[in-house]
Amino acid sequence: MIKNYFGSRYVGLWVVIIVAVRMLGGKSKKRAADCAAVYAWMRHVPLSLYAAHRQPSYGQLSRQEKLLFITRAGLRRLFNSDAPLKVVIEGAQLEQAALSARPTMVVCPHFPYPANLIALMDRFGDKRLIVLALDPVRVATSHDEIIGDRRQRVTYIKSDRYCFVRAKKAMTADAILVVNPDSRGNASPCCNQIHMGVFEFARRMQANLLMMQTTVNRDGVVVLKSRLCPPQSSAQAMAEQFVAHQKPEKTYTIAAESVA
Amino acid sequence: MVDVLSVVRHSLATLKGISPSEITPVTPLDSFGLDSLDTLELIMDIEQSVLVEVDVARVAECKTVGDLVQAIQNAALHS
Repeated sequence: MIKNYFGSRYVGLWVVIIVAVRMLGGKSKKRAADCAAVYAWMRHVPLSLYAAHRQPSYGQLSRQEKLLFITRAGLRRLFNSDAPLKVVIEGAQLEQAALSARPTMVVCPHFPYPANLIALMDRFGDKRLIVLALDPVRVATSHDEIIGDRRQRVTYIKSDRYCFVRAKKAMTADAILVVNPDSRGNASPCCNQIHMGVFEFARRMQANLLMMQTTVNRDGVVVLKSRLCPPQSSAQAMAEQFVAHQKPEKTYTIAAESVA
Repeated sequence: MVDVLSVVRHSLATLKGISPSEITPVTPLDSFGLDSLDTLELIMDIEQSVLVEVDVARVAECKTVGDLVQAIQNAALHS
């Protein structure tokens, strides 16, 4: 569940947080970073996304930033039961894919956020989700906002040499495969590599390929934009459509190896 | 009964464009440089030829061609 901390009920709460951060923080050099962190915190920007775009020291969080994100995680856990889901899905093509007899694959950048999975489960009725991940334990742990019956409907598969065999066997009529076809390149943390294997697998499976992009709008609502890729597309065409569907500031290169 | 070793050798040779004679039971599977798509194709090919469903967890533990043959034979016996 995603909580909208932007609401008036929570104004006092985040004012306290900001004051606490400023008290803990250092001099003016750190203020810009602190403000950016507070802004990201309020706008529900996932920690991984924030860390990836943090400048100048990519991926290294200060004590204040860590405190902010730990507090947010704690709040989410605390208010989980009564928090409304603030997710909007654009695109009627999702329903089109749900009604189709073909297997369905969902591709999203990085690994899927809990909001993506919750929204997919809600839209696809009682279908199960199979998430392909390089580190399934870490991804499953980061999805601790998915609770109860929903939790039982998500299976995590390690993205190794046998992942597509496992995925093919698991992709029955009531299951949807969720996978991220990109990874961060070694050369630059902002440049992502596309792994063609995912798209080649989708082509071979004749799967409905749904491309998703997650953004946070001005009201702090998570918006999932989806686009359905025609099943007859080539793997290259699918990859190009995926890149076109992502945010313009992201750069991609196509990796030679096909391991997801 | 299908000769599983022949099936595996033929599938691997076709997939990697090598001669079946280069493949022996002691050849390590890692030496073929199989990626996830190759592995999918290999397993599907073997399953269609031997008409048995392979246990992926068991196959993932195999180090050599001989181990793979053994795993498929065991699956065939239990099916």
